[in-house]
Amino acid sequence: MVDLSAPKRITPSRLAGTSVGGFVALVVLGAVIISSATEVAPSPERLVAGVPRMANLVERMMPPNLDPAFLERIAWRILETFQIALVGAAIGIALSLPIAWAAARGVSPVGPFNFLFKALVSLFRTVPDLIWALIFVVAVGLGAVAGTMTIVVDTIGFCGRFFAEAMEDAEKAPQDALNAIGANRFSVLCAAIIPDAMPSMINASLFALEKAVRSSVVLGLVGAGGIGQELKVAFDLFQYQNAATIILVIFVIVLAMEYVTDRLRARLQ
Amino acid sequence: MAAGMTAATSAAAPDAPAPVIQTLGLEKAYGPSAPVLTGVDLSVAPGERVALIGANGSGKSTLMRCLIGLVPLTAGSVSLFGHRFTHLPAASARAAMRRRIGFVFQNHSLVRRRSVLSNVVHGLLGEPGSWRAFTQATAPEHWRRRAMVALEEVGLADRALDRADTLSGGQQQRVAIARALVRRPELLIADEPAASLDPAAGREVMALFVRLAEEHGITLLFSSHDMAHAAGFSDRVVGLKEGRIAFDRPSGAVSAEMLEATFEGSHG
Repeated sequence: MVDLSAPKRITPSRLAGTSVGGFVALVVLGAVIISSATEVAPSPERLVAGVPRMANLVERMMPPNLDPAFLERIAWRILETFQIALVGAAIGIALSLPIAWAAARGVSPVGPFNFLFKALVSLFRTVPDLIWALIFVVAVGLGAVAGTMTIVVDTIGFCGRFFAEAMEDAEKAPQDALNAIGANRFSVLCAAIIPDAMPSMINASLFALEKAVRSSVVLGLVGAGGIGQELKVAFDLFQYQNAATIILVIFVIVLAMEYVTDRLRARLQ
Repeated sequence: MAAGMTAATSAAAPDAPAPVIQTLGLEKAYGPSAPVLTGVDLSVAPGERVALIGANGSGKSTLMRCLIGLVPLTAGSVSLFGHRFTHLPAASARAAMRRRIGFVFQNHSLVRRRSVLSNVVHGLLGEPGSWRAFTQATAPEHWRRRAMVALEEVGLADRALDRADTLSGGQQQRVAIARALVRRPELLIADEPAASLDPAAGREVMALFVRLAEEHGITLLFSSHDMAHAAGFSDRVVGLKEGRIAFDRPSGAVSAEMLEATFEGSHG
């Protein structure tokens, strides 16, 4: 029979491992979320009131516009969107390689100054793509070029970080062996680090491509080319059937892209 | 800071060939802790086969890394091929020096995702125009041929295009030997080349080392904590204990007491 009057020390504390500071931080975080929700989260009344309006919008979207002339115009915009995504991602991935090398700790040719490149990559990553698009529209004007430049910067922000991490994690023994042979830093990078980091880098590049396609469809909202521009015009002119077609096409494109990159990733692993 | 190389002052007799390796009062410490190496005086003559033995942590690997300038010396000096450096050799001198040395690590250290042939071609990365040695596919034809000859010498020419990580441990170590030999070094340094192999593969690798060193007139310095390897495959055995040379004898003259004293107190 179990002696329930056994010394207290055999039953560990329910809050073992929870510090007072951690508990207080958790309570503060909960309070901030609840007070913020009362300010910005939709109230049940507003949600209920919004349902008929949403139903009305969906009704006005139906049926999607399948007029051949409109579809042809959309097809050209889709092609432009793909071009922005592909070219932007390709240039971004290519530029990410030297930037990631310079940013990678213990591998960088600039030694302790690698933090400068890390900071640059962080800047590219933390500023949202629509903000970059606004900046490039001002800098180079409306159209696809601004969109491509946005994707380049966005891809560097994403791939720069993951490439640098993959390079930092690359096996050290082959690098030491090539150092002992007398190979310079660039040779060690090309012969030992990149081959070892390649699976992670390909994975990150495929995610970047997927991300670029998703970004490129919305860049047109701020005038940076692609299918998003047509979507904005459709909403601005209350052409909801056109908007429905464009949304469906975007859905199919993003889905197809995710399918293709998933298959590629599976094959590479 | 890196000190430049100067001509070594050799105390050897005028007709004796200059030692390939000579260390004087070599000391190495990592930070303020006890030094890993203290007052190491070691001389290796051309063509000699020298085994360094000692327990784990006795300083064998550090000594070898100091010799080729992979880690800086704390005090003392190293002379290689008659050129002396303290701390670290200057970058240009280091590159020139390493072109004359082959180095084999304990854990094969191959680029696993590359082919066997590419890994051997990597041995030419210190050569002029070496950017072409990143893979066998971009290497000049005469380099690819040299790599194939080296692979034939270690008996792995038929695995040239296989990925390195598909080979067994012993085969990978043979590829590492081929990579070290591909540019015909004058000195081969091997850090416990048989430590990660089973006894049969270990003996096979050591025999291969000795045969190739003899065939090509290469001076050989290898470390081991296996006395059978040290005595069986060297002319001379140097015992290292707690960073100091405990004994330095011809391989036939190493007594059990010497070995006992060298490994005493170790758990390795």
